[in-house]
Amino acid sequence: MAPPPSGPTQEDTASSAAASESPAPAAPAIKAPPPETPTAIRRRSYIVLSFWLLVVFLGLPFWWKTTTIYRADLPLDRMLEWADGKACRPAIPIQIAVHADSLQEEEANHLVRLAQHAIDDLNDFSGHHLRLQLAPRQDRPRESEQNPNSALSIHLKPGDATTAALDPYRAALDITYPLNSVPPLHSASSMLTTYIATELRSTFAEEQSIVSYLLSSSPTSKPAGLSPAVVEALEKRATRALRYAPTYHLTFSLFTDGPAPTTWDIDTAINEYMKPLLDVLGPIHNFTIDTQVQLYATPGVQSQTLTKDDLASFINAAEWPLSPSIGGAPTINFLTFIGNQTIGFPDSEGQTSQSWMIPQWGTVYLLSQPDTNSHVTKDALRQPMLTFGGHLLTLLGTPQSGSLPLRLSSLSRIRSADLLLRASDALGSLARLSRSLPSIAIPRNVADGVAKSIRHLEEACAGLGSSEALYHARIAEEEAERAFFEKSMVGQLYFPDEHKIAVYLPLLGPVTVPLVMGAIKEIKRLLQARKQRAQEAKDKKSQ
Amino acid sequence: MTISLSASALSLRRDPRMLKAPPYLSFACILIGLIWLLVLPLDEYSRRTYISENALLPGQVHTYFGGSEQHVFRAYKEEVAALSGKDTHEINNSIEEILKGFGVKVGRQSYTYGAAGGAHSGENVYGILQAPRGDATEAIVLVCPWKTIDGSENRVGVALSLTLARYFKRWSLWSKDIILLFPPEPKVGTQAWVDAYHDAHDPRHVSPLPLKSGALQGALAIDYPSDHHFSTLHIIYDGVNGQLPNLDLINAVGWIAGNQMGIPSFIQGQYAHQNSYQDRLKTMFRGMLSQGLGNVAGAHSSFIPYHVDAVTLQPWGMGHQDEMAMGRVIEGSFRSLNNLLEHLHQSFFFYLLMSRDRFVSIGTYLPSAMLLAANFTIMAIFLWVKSGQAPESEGDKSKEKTTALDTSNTVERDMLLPAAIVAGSHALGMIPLFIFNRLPGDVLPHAFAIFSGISIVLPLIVSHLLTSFYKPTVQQSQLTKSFSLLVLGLSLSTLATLNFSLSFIIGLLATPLSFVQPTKSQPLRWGFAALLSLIAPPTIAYTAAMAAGADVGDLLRDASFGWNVLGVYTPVAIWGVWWPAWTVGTVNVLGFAAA
Amino acid sequence: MLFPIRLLAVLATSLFLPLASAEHTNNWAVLVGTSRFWFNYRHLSNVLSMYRTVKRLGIPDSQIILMLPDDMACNPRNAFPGTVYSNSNRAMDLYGDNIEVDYRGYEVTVENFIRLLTDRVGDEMPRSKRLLTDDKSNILIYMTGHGGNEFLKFQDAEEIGAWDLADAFQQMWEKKRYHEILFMIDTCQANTMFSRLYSPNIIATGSSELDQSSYSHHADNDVGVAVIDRYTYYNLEFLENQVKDLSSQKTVGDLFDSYDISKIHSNPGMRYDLFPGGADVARSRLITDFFGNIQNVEVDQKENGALEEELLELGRTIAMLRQKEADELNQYNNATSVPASQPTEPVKHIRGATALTEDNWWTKKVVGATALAGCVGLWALGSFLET
Repeated sequence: MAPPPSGPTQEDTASSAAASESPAPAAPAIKAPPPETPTAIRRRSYIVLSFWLLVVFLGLPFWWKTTTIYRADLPLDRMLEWADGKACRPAIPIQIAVHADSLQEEEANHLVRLAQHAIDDLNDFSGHHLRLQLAPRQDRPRESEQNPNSALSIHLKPGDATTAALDPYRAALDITYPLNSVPPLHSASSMLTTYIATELRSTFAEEQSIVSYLLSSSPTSKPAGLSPAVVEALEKRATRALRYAPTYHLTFSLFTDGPAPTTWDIDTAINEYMKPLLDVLGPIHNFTIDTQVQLYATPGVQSQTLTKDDLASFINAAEWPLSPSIGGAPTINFLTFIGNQTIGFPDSEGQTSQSWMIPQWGTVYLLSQPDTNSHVTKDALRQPMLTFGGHLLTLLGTPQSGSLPLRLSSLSRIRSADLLLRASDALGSLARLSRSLPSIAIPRNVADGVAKSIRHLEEACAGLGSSEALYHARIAEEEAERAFFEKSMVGQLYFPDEHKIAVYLPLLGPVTVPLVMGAIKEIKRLLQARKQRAQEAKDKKSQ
Repeated sequence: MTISLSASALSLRRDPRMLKAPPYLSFACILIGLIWLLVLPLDEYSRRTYISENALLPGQVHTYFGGSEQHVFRAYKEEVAALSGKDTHEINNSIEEILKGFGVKVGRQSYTYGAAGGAHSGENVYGILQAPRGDATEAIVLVCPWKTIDGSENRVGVALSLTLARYFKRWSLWSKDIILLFPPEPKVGTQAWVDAYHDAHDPRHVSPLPLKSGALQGALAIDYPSDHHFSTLHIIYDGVNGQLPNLDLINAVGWIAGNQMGIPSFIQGQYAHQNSYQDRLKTMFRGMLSQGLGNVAGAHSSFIPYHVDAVTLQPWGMGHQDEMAMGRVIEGSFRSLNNLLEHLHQSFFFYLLMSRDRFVSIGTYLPSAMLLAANFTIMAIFLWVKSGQAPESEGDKSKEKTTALDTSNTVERDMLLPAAIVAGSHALGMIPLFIFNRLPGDVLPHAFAIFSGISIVLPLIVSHLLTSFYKPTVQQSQLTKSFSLLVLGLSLSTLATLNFSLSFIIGLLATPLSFVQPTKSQPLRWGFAALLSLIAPPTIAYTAAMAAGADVGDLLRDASFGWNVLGVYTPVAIWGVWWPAWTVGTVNVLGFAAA
Repeated sequence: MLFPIRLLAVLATSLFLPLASAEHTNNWAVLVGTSRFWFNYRHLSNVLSMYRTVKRLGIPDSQIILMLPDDMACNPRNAFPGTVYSNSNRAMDLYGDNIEVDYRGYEVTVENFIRLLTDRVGDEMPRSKRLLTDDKSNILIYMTGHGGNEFLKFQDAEEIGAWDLADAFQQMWEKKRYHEILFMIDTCQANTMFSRLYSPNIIATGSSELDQSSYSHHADNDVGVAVIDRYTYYNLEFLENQVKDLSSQKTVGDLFDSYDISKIHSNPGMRYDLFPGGADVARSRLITDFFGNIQNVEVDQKENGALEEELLELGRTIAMLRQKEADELNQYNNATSVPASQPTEPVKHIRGATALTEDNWWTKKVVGATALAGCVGLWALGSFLET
């Protein structure tokens, strides 16, 4: 029997009850559907409940798990401490071994103590201090191996006057002293110790100023009383020197604007003039070398005498192939241009120059040759090569003063401090980034990288001044950079809330509506049943 | 507040006045639907056409067709004139030779259709001009039938196509292949070719294509019989089954012709369109008529069901534009089509054009057909509710009018007989459908006359049979009408989305069906039946033929041709929806003695 | 030798070197086109004309990142194949020779662009496709395409929002990857795109305000499309006529003042508030600071030749000493080394044929059988319970 289409459904039971009481009308009686059995009602409740249980205990956790962004735990506070300089006060202790074999032990000790006091009085920058230590007596001559931990050895020798000279072959300072200038055991100071102190200070002055300048960019240290002129010079160094990289790629190019020369003895020239330098730089950097020859390369400026402004546009960057994408190492270009041009100085007459250095890029040398030569000999390349070598050291950020070994060890220490600061900076940036962009995923390997970086940072900080500092600092910086530049941390593109609604509503809407309606119906029924029971109980009571 | 509103709304259900409203509501729907259509040509409701697809860039290139191409054209015109009167095979041989002469690959295809007893057979010849730098994944078609739409020879058109083909071959900037199609006549040949191109042909009638290119993106057909200078361009855009090409194609061609070449264009034969209300209304009605009939309007019509936008261009009138101007229009259009990257899809596919540059889109005109269909549905629901009420005796009527409807007194409905009647009459509609699509052409007018006679008499017989054998009640007659109107409403509203004009026309002609009711008095019944015969489908067919000045036989032959060759489904709508509804309505009016 | 004096001398000579006018040492340019399809020809010619300008002013290809999403020059619809023109006089072909496109075709995506800016790329990315800037680089970023209110459409498929761009710039600032940025954008409603930037040292300029469209300048009737946009056209006019080479002293303020709203047909906007010093300092920056390649060179003095000689001698001596030490070490090692063993005959080994997928075959079979048995059991149980 079809149910009545236009009658209200909720009053079915009531009206059918009423209909059964009143006399049946002339039309055939409507048959109301039989009332639901209690088991059926209970079954319906269980069905609705089971759906809801499924949603709450299976669906919600599933959805939560699959839509949360995985963010590894980063030690943010620790990272920020490092970035603010609070985790480590970079202090570079320079160990200096004093060889005073011709003095008595007590005298030597006393001398060393006094010299240390004098140095400490003179030093006004705590980040870089000198530690004097008396080396054990040796019977062997001076050419023995050096104490690897000390940056400099002082060899005290008796002589005629008080002189000091840096050994050009190794990191050693030879000081001669007249015999009467040895401080007696009870004196508080002496000329000799003051002299030693000032000599040492001036030897390490450049390194100290560079380090203090570096550390001044970090928030806790301040530049220790550097004069503005020196500060400017240090800024110049900063803009000129290349960023530290473990490997550099050197490109030697020969450019000419005509058809000749076509060959050059670059191989032998490099072996003779550049190789020794590259070898001594070995502990700090690796180098790969590339050479090329380009003919018919017209420079950007054609005039015979170039002014300084012309030099900036001399290199025809549009047409000269200068930057190969070989490997991942930064490139330093050394260009030799065959031509008759010279550089003139407008303010000083008669003074000319043949070469110039481009900061963070390389060097250009103008070499003049007779037109008929089609080959550049090794001798012709000598002067350019020497210039290139000197510029290479400058481009690497080597201090300018002192003997070569000392400069190199200074470079190593300066670079360690530099890398330490860079690594801390990177960690700080990463910490700030992860706080400010809550929607990017932070994978596991970033956390690993950060942990590794911090470990190496601690080691580097502890060992600043020794030769391992560079190694630790390098690894720390590499790990910090890699953690920051993690490939998968591209910020999730900005999703306004309307997008989220537009995605979830069509997906979940049709499913939630029956669930919610079912739940509401069940709850209503429960409430009604409870009311009815209360009513019946009241009726029973009143009866 | 809401609760009280909903309560009052619910109580309204039992108000007796509710049962009086539907017929008036129905009438209002029809009136509004009709008026809606009539106000569309006004400026407030229609819009100017505009180019939607950014890629088209119509009119932005110089067209260089002209100059020495005119000599080439004259040469080809001589050759084409020499072919006049020859048979298809010879013509195709010549065309093939010419096309091969400038390096176009040529293919031929033959076909034989049988429709209305007659055979339509012929052979298409076509050439594929491959784009030198394109990747052969898409193609655009230039169709040039040998015969024009009204049967004369398309001499200038063919010559122009050949010249254009040679000219296009010299350009290297085509991104799509250009196909040149020369069917013998515009109605059948193109259909055979397009079907075979999409592998949807009937292998018994149509042979497959030897050569194919990529997906078709657009087509232009030229209809240019005589070589006098013309002044305007007639754009024919109607497709089979009332489908229309994308409006952007018409807009682009109109823009190029009008703004770049200075040739105005018009549609639906309204060459003297003054942009007045009457002109617009007339254009719209002509468009609706051809859309409703759904038959082929030109060589372009067969492309449209395959979602390939196509129009036919017909130079018209006496003026000072020559063939070179026409060639330039085609060149400009092809350069625009060349810019496309995908099928035209930005602009409308469902629209009514009032003039070349005024249109209304489906969102604006659809309600009128929907209202017409809705009126049937309203009446159907009203009759259903009425049939469910308990039958009152005559005396109680006045008393019970004022009391609330006792809804618990809904009676059981006996639906078997009404459903059987409606289903039976719809099934009966298959007979005329089958007959008129299969009979040979010369027998058709006679068969139709016989059928019309039977159709008028049929309701009488059926009603007599029903009343004598089954003794139906009032409720059953109400239910019959309800079901019939329900099916009508359903079909018409669905049809409105496919072919708006057909739905509207049938709906309009069937409106009396919702208002006629069985009455007691015999003469009134006969009067109603006579009125209904006036709107019977066969009667309408005769009237339409007379009004158009054509022979009914032609109309029937066209319908049979459409069904057999083109796949036009208008006969289904007429014989399967309209005629059964009319029959049931007339049966209802005549028969059903009161219980 | 007195080292203090030497040190001072070195420092003093370094002081004779001229001061840097701005503190950047290198220039980079990131030129991004974002639309494809033939009718967006003008967007690519916008980018290419900017490319030619920065190349003319000296920035090398290794410091230019050029992103072209479609290939107009080789598009079959191009009536002049292999060329892209930005002017209907077709005087200069922008594409022809000496061009290096870094990101082409479908590689130009929002993700790649953000990765480029933040340098979050894998190890396999070549250096030419990375933005290797540091805190002394000035970057010119130019973007063009179809845009809207705070978004820019990439390739008709996705969009970049103003917030994403701002976050990317902030990450660059965090990691000290730029010194100053000049951000230029030519799209519809361009000014909204830089409204969300919050990192310092950025000058931003766009072609049109909110609810304003940017228009194309003119079309070439043989190419068949519009060839350049108005805003870019007038920028180029200024750059070509007034900034002829690196010595030009024209400032950014001059460029901005040259914008004529009646010619551009939309309101170009500028943003100076992120720049320290505000509008005055920003407008006083030279055009060549961003568009050209300024390098503060240091010319050598002739007297330093002697210094290098000494260096070389020292180097040689040290190398010699090191070599000596290495020799001593070798000698010590050689005395205790083991003689090399005799080479043995290579043993011929014929390997038997192995199945292609032999891993866990039996395990899979067992698992499958168990599953099947389980299902059958469940079904049997169910039917048993039902009866």
